[in-house]
Amino acid sequence: MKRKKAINVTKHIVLIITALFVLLPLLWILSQSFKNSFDAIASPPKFLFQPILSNYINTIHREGFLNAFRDSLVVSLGSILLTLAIGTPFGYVLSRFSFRGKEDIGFYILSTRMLPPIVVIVPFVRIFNAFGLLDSYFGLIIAGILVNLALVVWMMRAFFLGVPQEIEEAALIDGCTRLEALRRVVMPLISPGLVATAVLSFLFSWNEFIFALSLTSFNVRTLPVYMATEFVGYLATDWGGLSAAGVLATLPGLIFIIAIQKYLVRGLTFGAIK
Amino acid sequence: MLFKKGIPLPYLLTLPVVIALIIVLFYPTIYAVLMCFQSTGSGTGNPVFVGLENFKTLFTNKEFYQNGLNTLLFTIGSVGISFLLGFGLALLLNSIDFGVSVYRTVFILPIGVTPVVAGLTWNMLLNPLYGILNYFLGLIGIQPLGWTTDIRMALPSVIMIDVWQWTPFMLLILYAGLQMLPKEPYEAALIDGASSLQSFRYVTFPLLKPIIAIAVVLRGLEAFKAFDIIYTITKGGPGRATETWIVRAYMESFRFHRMEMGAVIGIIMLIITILVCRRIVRVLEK
Repeated sequence: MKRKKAINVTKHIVLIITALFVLLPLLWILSQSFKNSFDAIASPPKFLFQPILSNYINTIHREGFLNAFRDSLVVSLGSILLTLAIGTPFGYVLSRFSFRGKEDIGFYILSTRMLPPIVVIVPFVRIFNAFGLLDSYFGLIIAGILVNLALVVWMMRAFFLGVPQEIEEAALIDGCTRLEALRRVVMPLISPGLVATAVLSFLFSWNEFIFALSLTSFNVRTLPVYMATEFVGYLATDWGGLSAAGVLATLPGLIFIIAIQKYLVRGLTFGAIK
Repeated sequence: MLFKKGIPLPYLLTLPVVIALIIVLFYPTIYAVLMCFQSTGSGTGNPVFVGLENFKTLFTNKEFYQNGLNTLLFTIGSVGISFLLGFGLALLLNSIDFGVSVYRTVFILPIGVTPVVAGLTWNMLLNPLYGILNYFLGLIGIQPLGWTTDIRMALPSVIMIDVWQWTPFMLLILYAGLQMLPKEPYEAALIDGASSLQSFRYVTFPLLKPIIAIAVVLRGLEAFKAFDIIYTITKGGPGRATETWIVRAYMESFRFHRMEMGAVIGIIMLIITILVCRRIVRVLEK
């Protein structure tokens, strides 16, 4: 009995140490964001200091920051709405119907997520250039389909599978058409799943970097690109400012990941594991 | 089931996805394949057909193989370490009787962090002069390390950061897998007198194999094309110590304006990806 207790304590100690290691970068950027420029690069590092808010105030007034926040918001919202509209119906098809070629389409959808983005980025630059879509919201939103389509289709398929077919059949007997049954009976049942899918998609769009870096420049600049161009590359870095901007940029992601943790496994495995 | 007159419903619901695939997948991919056989000189002017010239340039380029080795080391290192850590933690989490949800919530946080911000944060932590990692090492008498500036250290350092961000992915999936395992085989093993190590070796591991496969393959494909962290921390340097294929492809395309070289590297990566992807779709469909 005593031995068992000792083992249990050891397990918790290991888990707590790991948790601290996981949290260390996050706690550090948070504490840096409240330091003045001397404290931020003090050697030895300062763990106790007079906290200030000026980094946050400066960040908000910093040229381009709020614009980048707005751009991230527009692109993320645009791309998840578009992707949900395109992908949800097919998630339903995957869960209910079978016809020739269905598996192939399913595979190609999955491959949009797996393919190295550089394959399509290079042609996108040329094609977008020809259509005047380079450096525009719309261009980046279209590219955003690649970020989330696989997630939407396969995650929604899993949620549709969770709705018993009998419920739908009952609605059909009551005189609904298939489409009405889908809209009035099935969709309300899976609305939590739809919300979870939307939130996870938003998270991935919000954090997306390589498409935004390659396909936009002056007119549109999302937060990750803003962060990477403002704070990379020179030695004498404004660490307090960087940290405040970093905290603001990543806060939505952290909130969302906690909000949907129940559905996270399903999302990360494209519906394969519940 | 026919949708009144006209297109059957399943086809109607599939149509948007097919159009989207044509626009964002098929058309650009074919375009990229064609670009592999063209050259535009310095990036302006009309493309000229050059046959296999681009492939020849790349395959006779020593750095291309260095990039490939970096890609391989990064992928295997990141996936391998995060798998071992994640599996270990999942087993631990599965065996304690309280606090699971608190640990879980803490452990998933890195997944939500913007990779670019993760990179910038680790840049601070690993800074040779002001970083707290070197400070902690100094406390136990170890000389400061050039985490991202030393040629031998740089690749392990970016792997470490990737491991920090993505071990939670492994942990979550494997923990979910452990939770789904049936109880009976363990009871049977216990009756047969199996030790806990034996029941892990002969019960847990075989039952968990499909889930391990999903986790490892999905993570592997992501690591293979990982860009954000490497770009924010080292941009492929110092020298070419952390330059993987995708970083090289980006640099070729946008730094040196040799878009066709980016396309060639991209297509090579795509072929490798497809070979792996074909296999997992069957697992997911199940």
